[in-house]
Amino acid sequence: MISTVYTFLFLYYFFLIFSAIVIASYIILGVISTFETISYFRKNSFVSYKSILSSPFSPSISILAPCYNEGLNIVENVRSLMSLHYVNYQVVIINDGSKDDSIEKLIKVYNLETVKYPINPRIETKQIRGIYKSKNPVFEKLIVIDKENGGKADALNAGLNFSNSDFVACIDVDCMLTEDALQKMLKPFLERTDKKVIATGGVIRIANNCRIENGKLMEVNMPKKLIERYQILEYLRSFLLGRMAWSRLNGLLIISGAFGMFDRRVMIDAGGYDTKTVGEDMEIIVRMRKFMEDNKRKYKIAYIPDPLCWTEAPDNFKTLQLQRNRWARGTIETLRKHRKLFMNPKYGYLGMISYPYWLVYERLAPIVEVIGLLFLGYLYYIDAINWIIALSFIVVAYLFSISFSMAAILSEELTYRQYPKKGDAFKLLVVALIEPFTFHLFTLYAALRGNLDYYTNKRSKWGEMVRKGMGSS
Amino acid sequence: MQDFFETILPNLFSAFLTLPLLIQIIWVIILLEIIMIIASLIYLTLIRKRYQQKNQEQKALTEKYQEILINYIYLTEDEADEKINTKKLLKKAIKNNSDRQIIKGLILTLHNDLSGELADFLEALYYDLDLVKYSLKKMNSSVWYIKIKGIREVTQMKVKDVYTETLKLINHKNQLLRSEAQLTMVKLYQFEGLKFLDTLEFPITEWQQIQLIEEIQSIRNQEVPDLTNWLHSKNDSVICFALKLVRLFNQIQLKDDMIKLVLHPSEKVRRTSISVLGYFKILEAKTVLKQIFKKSSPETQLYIIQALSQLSEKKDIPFFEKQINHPDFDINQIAYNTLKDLKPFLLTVNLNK
Repeated sequence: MISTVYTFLFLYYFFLIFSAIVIASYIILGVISTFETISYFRKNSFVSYKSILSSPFSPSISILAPCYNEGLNIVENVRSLMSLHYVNYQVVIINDGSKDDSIEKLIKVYNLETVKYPINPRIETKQIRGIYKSKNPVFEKLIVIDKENGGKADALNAGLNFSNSDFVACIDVDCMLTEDALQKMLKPFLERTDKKVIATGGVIRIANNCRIENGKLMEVNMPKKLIERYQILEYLRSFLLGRMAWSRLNGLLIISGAFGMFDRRVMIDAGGYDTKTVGEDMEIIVRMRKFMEDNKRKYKIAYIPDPLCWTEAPDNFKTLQLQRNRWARGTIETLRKHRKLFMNPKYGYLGMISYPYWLVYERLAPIVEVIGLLFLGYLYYIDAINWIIALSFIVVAYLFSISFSMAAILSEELTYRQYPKKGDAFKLLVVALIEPFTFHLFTLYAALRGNLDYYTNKRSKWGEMVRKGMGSS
Repeated sequence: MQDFFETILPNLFSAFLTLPLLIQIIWVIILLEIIMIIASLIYLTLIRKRYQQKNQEQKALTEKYQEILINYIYLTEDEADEKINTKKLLKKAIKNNSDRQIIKGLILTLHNDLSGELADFLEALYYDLDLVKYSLKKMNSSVWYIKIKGIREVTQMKVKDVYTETLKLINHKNQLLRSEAQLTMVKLYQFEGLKFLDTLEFPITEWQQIQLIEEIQSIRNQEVPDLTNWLHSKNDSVICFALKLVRLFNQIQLKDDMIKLVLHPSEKVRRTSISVLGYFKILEAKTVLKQIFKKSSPETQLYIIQALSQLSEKKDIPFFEKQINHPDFDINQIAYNTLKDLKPFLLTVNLNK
């Protein structure tokens, strides 16, 4: 009997302290992010990107875009990538053994022919079938690598082996970049003199329902479906209130796989992408950071809050569940692989703050939350709930969730104002009110499924997303 | 309402005081959260409304003054009366702060878009309306971003008597401010403005170097200054920047200084000098480059082999043959391609062996 009481007390205080720390950390990160975003916004309103566009000293960039069964939009996507505003860049499309007509379409439309080209064999990849360049000088920036299917990470590694540029921008081929995306992502690499910037990440914005013509974003619209609006709010919170703070603290552990720029040599020296994980975007950042720490080199991972990359978000729960499931598995795989970092003072901030935070608040949070809910259910079952306490906690958590979403909406409003139309803010506010009881529970379920799939060895599946094509919106 | 304040509220407060401390804390937090949410909602509504209003007002004013300004610059000498009237109207308008901001903004934008006589007209108008006074006021502000706006305005309108004020900002602790001051020095005083390099204490970032070079490239009809002193600067970034200027202005006569920099303690300086030596194909640099190759880091080795490839002659074949099995792919590829250019037949034989 006494041990049961102690267990209850332990669980009670555990959840109390856990929740208090979660709320405190969100507040701290939110405040840092808001200041950082506004400061970035103000500083960059003075920056002129004109010089970098034509300078003979502008560094070279390779855009690496893996493509798998993207035949529907591949031609338009490539055209969009080739119309970016920068002087010294090439577009490397890596056809990862598509089963559709992607490669045939590219060959036909861009007048491609096979060329012989030396490829760095340092990172092992699946076999390269051929390398193509256009016979038409208009498309001289374009390179197409055709290879056996090996997954996204393997395709990126093939691109990395091929490239000899100073920097590589790894993107999802279906993403739409704004014309100034490369200049803005490159800037942090060139403006630090005290530390080596090894990677920059950008905000990912949701393009569902936006008007896109010829691969260019013409008009930003609030999506019609609730599931898409949930994701808008979620992305705003995550990018504007989370990652900006981690960037300020130089503790970023992830750069979205949809769009990131890297120092090519550091990336290769760190070993390139891991093909055995579905969370390759997080894993490469952790590994590059570890590599720099091991070599005792000062480094930084920068983050750009400008809306530079627009992508199609899942518009149905089945696809969304697969995506979240994969994110959960990717996080588990990365954290397990690099478990040596945990509370390891040798790795400084990475080992003592970033990794433990990620482990507790990203990896374990869904599990703790479910245990909490089960504990509450059990207390109800044995009629041991103090309703005043329980309701008070629920109200605090609910109101905190709304406050945090409000802060994200305000931060967006004070900086980039991508949704200025009448009624848009109201729609996001409605989402903020209902999300804790709806979408949050769904993401919790998806994360748990990810855990379950990981431990039942359903690891290799990526989950396919059926694309509608952004231009069709 | 009276009941609420006289009975309900005190009762609620008494009941609150009987609750356990933890619950009391939680309800205080709840109250704070509610206040925060309501405040955020009001603020959000206000800023959206204000933004919309401001947008509409600004749009109307911009259209109005744009028309006036465009008419003004196209007025002929026969229409002197109209010119005087327009100026009077604008002088009256700039007394109002928001009108002044729009008129000044429009003059600056149009000045940027136009050239020749029309741009000169606008410049003269800027002085006639005494807008320079407001730009200088901004430049003297203690807020860094207002200061930058002021600097930009005086720079664009070629207000030359700001040399001393600008020079003071060259070593300002705010990076953006000192970068802007450096650009202004070059834009207003051209090569003379580069004197700031003599006293610069902070490093010039790669980004800033590209911006400065872009401005320097637009300087016409002026003799290139002597770059020697900057090649010996204590500030490593000044040396790198000077090396880029050497390349830009083909100052090949400085080759001895450049060769010495190959042994500079800063790796960045070494790399920059190596690539400039390669660019100019200075054969005298070959011996020292080969000497330092082995001891250098792989990244610097890449710079060296790129330079040596640009300087390659048949007698260098043994050096490149040694590098063909270098563990760094980029290096061995340069070696391979150089050998292919130097003696394709020999390479085939060696590879077959």
